[in-house]
Amino acid sequence: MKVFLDFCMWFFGGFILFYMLIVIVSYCAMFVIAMLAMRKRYKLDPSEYDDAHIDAFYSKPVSLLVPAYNEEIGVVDTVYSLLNLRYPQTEIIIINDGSTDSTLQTVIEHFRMKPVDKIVRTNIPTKQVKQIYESEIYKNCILVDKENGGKADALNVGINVSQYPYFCSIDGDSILDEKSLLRVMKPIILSDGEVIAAGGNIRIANGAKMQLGSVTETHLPNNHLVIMQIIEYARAFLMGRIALSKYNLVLIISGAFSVFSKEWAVEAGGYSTDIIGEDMELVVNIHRLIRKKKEKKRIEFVPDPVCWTEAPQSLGVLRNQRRRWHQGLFESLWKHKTMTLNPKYGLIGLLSFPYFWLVECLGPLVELGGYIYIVVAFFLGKIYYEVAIILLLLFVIYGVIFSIASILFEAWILNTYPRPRDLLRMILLAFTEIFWYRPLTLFWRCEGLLGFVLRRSDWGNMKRVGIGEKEKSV
Amino acid sequence: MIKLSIPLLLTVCGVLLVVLFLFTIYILVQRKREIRFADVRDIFLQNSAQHWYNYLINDEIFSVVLVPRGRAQVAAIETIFSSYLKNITNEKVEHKIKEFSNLYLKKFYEKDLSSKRWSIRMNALYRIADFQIEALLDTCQQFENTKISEEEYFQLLKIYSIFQPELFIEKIEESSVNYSESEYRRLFVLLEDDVFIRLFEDFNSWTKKIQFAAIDTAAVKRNMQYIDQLKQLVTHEMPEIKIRALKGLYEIGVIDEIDPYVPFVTSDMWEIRLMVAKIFKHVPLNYTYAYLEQLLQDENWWVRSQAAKTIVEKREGIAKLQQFLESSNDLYAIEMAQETIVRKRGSK
Amino acid sequence: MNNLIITEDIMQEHEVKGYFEILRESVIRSRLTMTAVFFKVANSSQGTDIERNQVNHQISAFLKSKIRKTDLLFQLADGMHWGIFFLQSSEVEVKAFLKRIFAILTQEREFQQIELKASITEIRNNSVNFETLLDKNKHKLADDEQPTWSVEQVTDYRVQPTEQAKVSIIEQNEIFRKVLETTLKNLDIHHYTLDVSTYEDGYSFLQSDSYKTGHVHLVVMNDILPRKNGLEILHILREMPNEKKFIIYMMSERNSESATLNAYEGGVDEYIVKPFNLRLLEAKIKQTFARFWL
Repeated sequence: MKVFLDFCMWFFGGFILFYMLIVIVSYCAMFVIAMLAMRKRYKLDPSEYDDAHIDAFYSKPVSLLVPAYNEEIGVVDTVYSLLNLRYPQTEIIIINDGSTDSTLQTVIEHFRMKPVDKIVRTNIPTKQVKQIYESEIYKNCILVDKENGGKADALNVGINVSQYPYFCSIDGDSILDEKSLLRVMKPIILSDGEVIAAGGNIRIANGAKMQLGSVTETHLPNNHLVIMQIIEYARAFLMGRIALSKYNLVLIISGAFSVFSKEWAVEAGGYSTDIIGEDMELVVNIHRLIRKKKEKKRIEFVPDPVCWTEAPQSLGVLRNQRRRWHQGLFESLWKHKTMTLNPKYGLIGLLSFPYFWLVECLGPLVELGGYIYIVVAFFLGKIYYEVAIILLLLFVIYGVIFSIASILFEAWILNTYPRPRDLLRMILLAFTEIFWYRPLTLFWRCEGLLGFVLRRSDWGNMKRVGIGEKEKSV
Repeated sequence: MIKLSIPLLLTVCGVLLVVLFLFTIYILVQRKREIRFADVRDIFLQNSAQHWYNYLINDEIFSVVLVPRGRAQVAAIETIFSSYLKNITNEKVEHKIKEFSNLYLKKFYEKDLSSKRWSIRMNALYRIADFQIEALLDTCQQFENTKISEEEYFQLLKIYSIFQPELFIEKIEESSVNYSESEYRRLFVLLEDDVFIRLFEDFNSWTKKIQFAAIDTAAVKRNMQYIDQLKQLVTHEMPEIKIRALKGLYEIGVIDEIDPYVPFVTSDMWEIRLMVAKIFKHVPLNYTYAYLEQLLQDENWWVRSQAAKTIVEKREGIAKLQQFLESSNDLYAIEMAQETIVRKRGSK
Repeated sequence: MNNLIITEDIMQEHEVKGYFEILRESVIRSRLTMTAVFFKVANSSQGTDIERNQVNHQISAFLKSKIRKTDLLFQLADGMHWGIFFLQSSEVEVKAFLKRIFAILTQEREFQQIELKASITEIRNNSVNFETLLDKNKHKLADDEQPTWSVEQVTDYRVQPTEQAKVSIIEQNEIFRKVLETTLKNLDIHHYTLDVSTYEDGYSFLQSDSYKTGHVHLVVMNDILPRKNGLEILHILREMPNEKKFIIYMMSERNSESATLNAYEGGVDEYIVKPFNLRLLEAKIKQTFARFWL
């Protein structure tokens, strides 16, 4: 028995250590790539570029899709922020996905919506559209009232109604910075359409002063849980998105703010309605399509376009969110498991998929194992101390040091929270990460994995929670 | 393989933490400096805004207060100048800004161009073009010979196109860098008419992207001079060029004869038929109705839709469509005509 | 003089006084110039009473046949003067009218007995009362040496009152906002004093309540503004019951046909694409204000 336990401890210890080293090395590599890419832009005057592209002559028109399910509080501000975008040609399409609250009435009253007859082409089959409205104030603002069918279905309706070659999906409780659309469209415009989808950077709005769709001041919120999420977002942004984007390896662009070429999205079948992570699903489908058609197209992540969104403030909501995300991630990866290590899909199959499987999807399991290992080791006595301490130190590097590095780097380049006090608070809080936030989220994510394995039939229920919950994928 | 030991990891952690600590201090110091910089800039902005107004708009005499001392004040002047240039067109103001920049800002940007930071060099290049600092043209040409990025080269081309169109055309010809269409458009739209026409003259020698950009720019410039050029391109062998030329003609909106366009009504490509349906917007209905009716029964949804729209926009359009409804038996066309009529009435 | 028969079918001096006061006030309120003309028989000393009576009848009938329905003809109590209030007409139009009827009177044989002279008063303010108006005009026409068909002018009431107009500038860029403010503050518009205020976003403008007063109100704003953008402000202002008092200029960076059309359909008076010429803006504003008064 003792021998067996010994063997287990050594084996798992070795395995977890090895795994942690791999993860740390890959994060380091991505961090360095991101740093090199971002450093260049330090102190660049962005207004020069922005202004050059405000003329309709240079830019391509975009349809902005706002799916709204029970968003009576947030949707008006979202639409205001869209109305104030500095972009020459847009149309705003609000899709009321059979809300049970007064979302429909609120929008109708606020923007003076009048019913209109409109010819809609059905590119993607969807649930029934009940009525289309048009604003009396803003001629480019449309409201579509449809039967409930989930966020993906609402977006598909939006795609059908839209008249422009690009569409941008925005969650009904997010706020866009006035230049964000211009910046997220920049790679698309500059590449003459080689970039067919682009995702923007998401920021957490808690603590920022907002009114009528404008963010006036940004302060760090007081809620520690929210600050931890801010740090997490910064990490995900620096150790992941930028590096992956550089080599066209992006599998997730946040559904809260992303632009797609309509032609490609429609050909890829639009958003899938039978899956939790519809945004990831669409990106993966487009990647497949690119390979199938053997075209030279890219999907990019753009570091600066800013979409402000509310983050969960309580453990309960955050737990739901993380469980769902992880279940969604697992589901999507599983659905496309044949792409893993499949040379037919190039780097996506050889690098992206293994990375998402090992680091993003199964990582929490191993890491949680690591935490348990440390605890068990301390009970078992001193022969395991060394391994446990090494593991702990790796967690420190992985958790604390990477987080602080991300905070500092973000502060240096983007300077979201200008007050020095805020910066120091974030750094101090980062030291505590490995003791509470990290284990908690790991646990929730493992719950998500379990959810995928056990509760397949339960998805329907999950889905109906819909977009009402404050959820954004990082 | 390196043995993973506790001391090693401790050292790594320690070193990293020290590095991060130093970085934090650096950032905080940097913040302080930025705040001071912003203060100086804002004070200068406050104090000189009225002087600038008087100098630029009211033609009052130049005051020494306006001459910048230090970077922060240059930053303030940049804000002022770009606010004026972005919002106001006035040759005198532009001239004064140019004059002032050539005299007092030149040395700052000259120094910036030799900066090690890419972003600072880029900012300087932007300003040279915006404020028309011609005095730095030679410096720019020397700068071109150093190792520069594609973005910088693009800015240089923009600068050449403003100060020395000859050189610009030369550079475009020899340029090894392949810019995107929208970038070429950004360059071409700034060109004077005579230079642009020259670009058009050797149309066939350019790469596709330049050709496309030239057609689109011609359309946007809405200059009658370019109509003939575009009309010639309508018969070009490349469909893409044909379509773009048609689109350009539609956008200029001056159609003096319909004969050149009639053959396209039966074109194999629906995009071309669509463009023709659009072009007919600019021609009285009695010349075009026969063709539009044909397009209304097109197999392509977009063409049908556009034909219906073109008809209904005209004064006697609704009546014509109704007449069509009574006589036609093409279901798709009927549906389109009905919907368009309903929509037109709804919008009234 | 006493046995002159007063023509029955036109209005008399005492009846008109009340009307005049209403008309005078509406001149100010609707900013529409009114012009009064008084006629006097130039050869009043000649002929018998009966002949004069006949001439008087003829004059009344003739004038009555020439005026528009909006003009008010009346005879003065002394029997020798006629007055017409031309509503919504300036001096220029009235001069043309006089030229026309005098030409008829001199050419046609049936009117050979009529000889008239006239005086014109253009009225743009309400500092005039009926009696003084009559007195001044009678005085102008009192000189017997004046040639027949001469036209005199009373110029005392032609200056419109100086009115206060509000100007609101809503622009996000601080420097340009200041430029606009200085420019408009220095703008000299006849008969108006401009009360200029600036706002950096739509919400603060709506909070200010300054748009709720009855003054003529020029709003110069951007289409894109933080917190309530230009199009919404446009809609709110145009929904107001007295929306006509707003002159709305919208500035925009968007140079697209659809954006321009939207703005005009929403009710802007001018859509100006940035960058624009400041002098041109000044001229446009002046012209808009000038059109306010007939």
